[in-house]
Amino acid sequence: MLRVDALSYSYPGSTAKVLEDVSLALDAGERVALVGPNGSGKTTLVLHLNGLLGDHDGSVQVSGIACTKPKLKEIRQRVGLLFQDPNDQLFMQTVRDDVSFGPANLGLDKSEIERRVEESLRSVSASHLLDRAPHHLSGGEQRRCAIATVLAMRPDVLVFDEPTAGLDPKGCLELSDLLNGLSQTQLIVTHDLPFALATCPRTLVLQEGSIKADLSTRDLISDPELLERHGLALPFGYVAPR
Amino acid sequence: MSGPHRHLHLHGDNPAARRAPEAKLAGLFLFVLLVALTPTRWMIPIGAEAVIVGLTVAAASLPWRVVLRRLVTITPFIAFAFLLPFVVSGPRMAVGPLHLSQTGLWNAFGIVSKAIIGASATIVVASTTSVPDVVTGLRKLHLPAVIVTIMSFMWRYLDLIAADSGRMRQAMSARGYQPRWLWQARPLANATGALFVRSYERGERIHQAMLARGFDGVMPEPSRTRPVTGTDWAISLLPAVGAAVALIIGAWYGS
Repeated sequence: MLRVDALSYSYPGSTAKVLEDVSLALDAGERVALVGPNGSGKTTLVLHLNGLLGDHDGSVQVSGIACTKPKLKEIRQRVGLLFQDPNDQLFMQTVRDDVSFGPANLGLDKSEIERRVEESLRSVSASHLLDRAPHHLSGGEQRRCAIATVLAMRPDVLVFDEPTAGLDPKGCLELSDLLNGLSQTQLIVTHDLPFALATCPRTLVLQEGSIKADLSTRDLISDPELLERHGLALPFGYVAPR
Repeated sequence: MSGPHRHLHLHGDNPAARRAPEAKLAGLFLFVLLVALTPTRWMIPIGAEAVIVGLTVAAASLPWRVVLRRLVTITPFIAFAFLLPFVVSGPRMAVGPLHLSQTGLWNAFGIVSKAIIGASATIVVASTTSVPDVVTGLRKLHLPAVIVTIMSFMWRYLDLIAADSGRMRQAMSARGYQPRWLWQARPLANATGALFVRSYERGERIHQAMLARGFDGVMPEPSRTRPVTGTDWAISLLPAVGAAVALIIGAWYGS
């Protein structure tokens, strides 16, 4: 469903490689966590999956379609990217306008747009927020509406960049339930290992721009030495379930 | 909610709130234009315009207290107007112990009356129209799309920028920064620069979020807009028509 082969990238004007020879593959319907210390290149990788950064070595494929300039529109419809700060994702005046932004860019007719807006807000239990202004919503509500904005594109793959950032523990639990209930293939960037365990059976570890481990989330968090080696840590007092 | 998003639009059902935003905005523009064009010494039209605006406030069921509180924003203009009778040259007249310029008095009267009438009309529209509706209205009136989009984004992100700035101020105060003199302003200038860079970076992230959802340079039409009716136009243009009639009568009587 999602395939990255030998992806390498440096930001313009810099010779340092932020990503180096990154390869990964996600099957349809799989939920995979992407973890790694700050500065390991997680967000850069995520932006590549949607064709948002320029020239790179290697390739990104979604449902067999290569992420190249002529195919960008199709790739962006197929990959729903959720940004870390919902305030960056919700830029319109009302939730309705925000959720309909993507479908409208796809050139859909008004009745189809309305149907998608209702459907995607219903799937995140946020139908009641339809006509609210995004800046009047709580953090959890903003996160739900931001997810609805990508669901309305009917993507095959959902990519979340630190979806638990700024959420309280209850909000994290609700978000985990929500993501577990979605049928799309998901790649979830997170620092929150218990959240990764509750949501994703499989985890990729990205460190210094390369994939260093690809294993089950349970195996990762029950191996203190492995965590230590990759600059990861469990929350204070957390005991990994056996 | 704190900051600029607070209270501008008052929820409620009244004849003004029910009108389509584009009709209200066009009506407001024409009315304010006619008020601005009214010669200062034409007392009948100016009086009529004041009555019209008073009736509009009543029709919109706006509490007078709210209108008066919001009129405080035009205080600087009024303060400037009060200087005119003292500084404008020409024939002078005695007002109590003061000798004031007649032309200056008329100019001051013109500025104060027009500012109050125009601002009150704007307050009626702002209080009965939500910001998303104002944006939709401006778009329907074919204001350039870029300008409408910039206005809409500015409004959406004003609170966040204000909150950013507030946090920076707190962080500076928490480390003992209490500027009293001009030469202590340097950290403030640095913070302003940092705020600019942060806002610019946020702008980049928002642009990426837009691209990720298929944005190709043209903002889509608002998802749901109510059609404008003849009644909307008739009621919204009524104050402007009233002002026009008052102006014609004023011209007729040469007042």
